[in-house]
Amino acid sequence: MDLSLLPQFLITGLSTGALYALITLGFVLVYRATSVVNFAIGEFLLVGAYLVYTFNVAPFNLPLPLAMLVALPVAFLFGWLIERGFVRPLLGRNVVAVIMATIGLVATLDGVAQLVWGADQKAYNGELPGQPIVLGSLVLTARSMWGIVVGIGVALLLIALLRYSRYGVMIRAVSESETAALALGINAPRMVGIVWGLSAALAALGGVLLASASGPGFHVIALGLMVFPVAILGGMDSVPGAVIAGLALGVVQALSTGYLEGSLPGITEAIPFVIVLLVLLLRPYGLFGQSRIERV
Amino acid sequence: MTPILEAHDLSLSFRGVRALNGVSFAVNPGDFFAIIGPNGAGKTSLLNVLSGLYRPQRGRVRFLGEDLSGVSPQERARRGLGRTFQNLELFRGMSVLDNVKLGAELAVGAYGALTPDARKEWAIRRWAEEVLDYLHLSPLRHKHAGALPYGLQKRVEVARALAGKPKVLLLDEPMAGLSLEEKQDLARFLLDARREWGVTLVLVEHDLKAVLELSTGVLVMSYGEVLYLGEPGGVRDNPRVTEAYLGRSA
Repeated sequence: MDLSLLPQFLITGLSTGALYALITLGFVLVYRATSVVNFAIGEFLLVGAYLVYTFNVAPFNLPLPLAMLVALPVAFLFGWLIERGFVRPLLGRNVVAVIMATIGLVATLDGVAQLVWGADQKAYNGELPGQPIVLGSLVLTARSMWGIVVGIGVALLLIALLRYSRYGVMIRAVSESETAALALGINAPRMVGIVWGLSAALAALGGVLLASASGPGFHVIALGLMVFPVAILGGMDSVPGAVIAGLALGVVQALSTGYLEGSLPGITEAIPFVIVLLVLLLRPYGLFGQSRIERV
Repeated sequence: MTPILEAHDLSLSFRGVRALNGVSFAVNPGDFFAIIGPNGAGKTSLLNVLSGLYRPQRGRVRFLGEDLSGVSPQERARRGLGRTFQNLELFRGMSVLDNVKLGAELAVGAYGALTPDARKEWAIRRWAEEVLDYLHLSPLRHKHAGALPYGLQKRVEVARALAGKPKVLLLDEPMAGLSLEEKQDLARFLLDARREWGVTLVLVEHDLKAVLELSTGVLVMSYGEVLYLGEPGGVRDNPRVTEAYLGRSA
């Protein structure tokens, strides 16, 4: 084992992990606000990555960062529409019905994405700007820096907004009790729409940055599925938990790629889920989840 | 006197089960109106129809003289129809103060997505503190609402609702699960709020004795139907009530 490469693996892991954290944050917000486990989160990444692609190629030809900036509001609108047209009509149905519906959403969005963008792997036009930073043997690529800066920066911004802004407090109120929020005159349906929009925008941002090297294609969906081990490890309903678990699993995967993949091919895909299983055995509510006791 | 809140011929059923059947009543400004009945009588369903969470199949609700059909729950709250819940619906992860501030925002009126403007923020904070003080909750203002004992959580929920300066406050079994002393405290707070802030109270209760001596008007329900509507004094002598309610529980 070559420990001199450890810092390099850590940086790569933090970069991927920060993006996992970002995507999971949106997923957890949706879960908290609507109790819906969004199985279509992978498709949210896919649609986001393709939206950026659309603005990145002809006729728009925007440079990648600008294309991201333009695609984010569109992704927000996409998430908002999914909530309006798809999730809201199912409110109050039983849990299984809602789960089956989001699985149906997976198939629908896969089909729509293929119709709109085709099934072949695309490539982004141009790279993420930035010069690699070299510190001795450690190389910080532009992509790593984008991942770390955008992932952690946006996550912290979002946490601050949730904690201190007026809409943030109202979103938390709706997440804790929608009926009580309504009784205080809070426009809960609007807050829920915003949360779904935010989740789609975060998925788009994470999706495009995770796919920035490979280009957008259906493999992005598999990256989105990392949300499940991250969210479960973090406790499903914990915002800081999502961030810490995202970073942790990103690092674990990078270390596994660096040190284990050679002798145990395929281990990197499995290891986050193995960790989740172990953690759940010891802590059923994840690392930061709330164990809820209800008084009837 | 024009009623402040009126229900006219409300009917509601869930998949064939009748929750409410032709329920009508009127509450006058300043009333302490009690809705009582055994479990499953439809009391909470009735409150949910009044506050807009359920849509009745028949009948209408009038509040401040206006028909509320098609008015959203949040809009009803903004017009002054407050509400507390049978199973506590506090924002458990927030402090007591933040819970009450969300109520106070409703009363003061706040705009903007990021912050209310500075003057309103100040007014919200001051009013929230006043309500906390009024309900003897000030020392707990920074505690997590979810970490408080049950009786205090109930009191915080009442504080949050009162902070919204409702014209009518609907209370769903506020006394349930409280000790005798806590019940007396809460009753005193509610009566004070009614006297000093002019809040009309509509209170759902399971326990008949707890409210008869306080109320100005009573509606007794059983299986979604009105058994009795009138002065509290007439409840005990009413044969239908005696049979359906007192007969079993007394």
